[in-house]
Amino acid sequence: MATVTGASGAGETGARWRARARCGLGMMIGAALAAALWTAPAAAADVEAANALVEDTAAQILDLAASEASDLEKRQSFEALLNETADVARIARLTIGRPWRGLTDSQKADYQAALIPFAANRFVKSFGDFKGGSVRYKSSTTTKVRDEERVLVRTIGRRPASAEATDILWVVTELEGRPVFYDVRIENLSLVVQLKNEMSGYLSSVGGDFDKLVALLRESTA
Amino acid sequence: MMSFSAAIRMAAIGAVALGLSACATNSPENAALGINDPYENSVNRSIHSFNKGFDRYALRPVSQGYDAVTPGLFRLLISNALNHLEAPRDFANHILTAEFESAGRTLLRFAVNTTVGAGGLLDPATDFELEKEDADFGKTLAVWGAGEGVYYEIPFLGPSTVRHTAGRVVDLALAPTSYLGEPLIAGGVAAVAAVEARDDNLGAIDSVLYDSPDSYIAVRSFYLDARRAFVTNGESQNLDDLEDF
Repeated sequence: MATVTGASGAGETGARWRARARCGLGMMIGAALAAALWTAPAAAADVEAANALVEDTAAQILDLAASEASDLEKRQSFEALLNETADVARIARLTIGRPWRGLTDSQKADYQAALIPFAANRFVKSFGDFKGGSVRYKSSTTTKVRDEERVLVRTIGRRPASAEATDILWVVTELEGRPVFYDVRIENLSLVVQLKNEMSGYLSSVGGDFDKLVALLRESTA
Repeated sequence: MMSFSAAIRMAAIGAVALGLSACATNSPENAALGINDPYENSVNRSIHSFNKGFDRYALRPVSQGYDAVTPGLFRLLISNALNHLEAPRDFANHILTAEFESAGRTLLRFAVNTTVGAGGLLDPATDFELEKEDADFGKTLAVWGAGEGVYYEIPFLGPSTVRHTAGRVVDLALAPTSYLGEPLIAGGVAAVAAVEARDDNLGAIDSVLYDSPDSYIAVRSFYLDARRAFVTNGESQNLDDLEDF
């Protein structure tokens, strides 16, 4: 801070200080404007990327559901799509919750490898009910949870021969610079929450033995 | 006049359920999962096996046959008509839960589809952005603070809770078909609605019922999640409550 040594000196120092303050204020406003101008297109691009991801994924799932492939082939194709478009590691973590911390790396890998075919089957069959119908983009919003930006993409599903619209919400975030989804809510019913509660039920039924849970999952998708 | 036998049947189921809940003890494992299922091993799993067999050999094949032989337009008209019959139930329960805007839209939707929509066979209201907004008395009871109660499976009807069963009894009184004075018609409409619902959700129900390690646990989990999501308008499904490790 400037030291006041005399009247003239004080006036000169004060003028210089005011000039600096104006300059500083101008720089701050400029920086804020620049930041706003810089972030606005980026946020818009993120939403657009999320919308594109959802539209593309929904179209691929409907094509897959309508194809002549066997259930096993459909599931395997969707597994590949899921690995490409979803944060599968996060889905695995969320469906286990707190006990995840106590698992070894090998158990985590085994669980993820067993869960994804199971989830893919559930997912592709649930979406299969819309084959011959449509899943169309409706709107998207952004939200921030624990410093993480998420895009909530709302689509409307219509089953064939049914007038009723089904609300389908996709939760999209970013992973390694690309958009990925990690949950889908059909009529408010979250696929991840549903899987978590189901896994908790299976885990409880095998006395909390994690390796038995993995064996159960493998068996059901064998 | 209301279908007396149907009401008696539902009331009896509800009374039995309430009676069961009064003397039931939940296991610590189920309690830890937030599930009140004290009859899992004594009764529920047996009824589940029966219901699964009923689905495998009757409901599923019939719904697939229905899908194969009926033209899409016919199914659409049936679906519209079934939805239209639920309007009094939706309207009354929106009022009872003070969702007056939803009640207003439901009333308007009913008026539009009754007049312009050929008595409910068509659904022009949806084109006017008057989408169907479901409500039932089970949800109303939840909004009023009634607990979920014991979980159980009912033969032929599938999973339920004490609260949901009590709600079904009241909703039966709100169904126009209950006042036709002809139980066969009311029963027929209920059967068509069940076949329609099974057909609409063929893949989702198949994956839960036939592709799960334990279909009893899968059905119970799916049913409770779906019901809880419905009565809380999705609040029970908040992902932010799940810690991300």
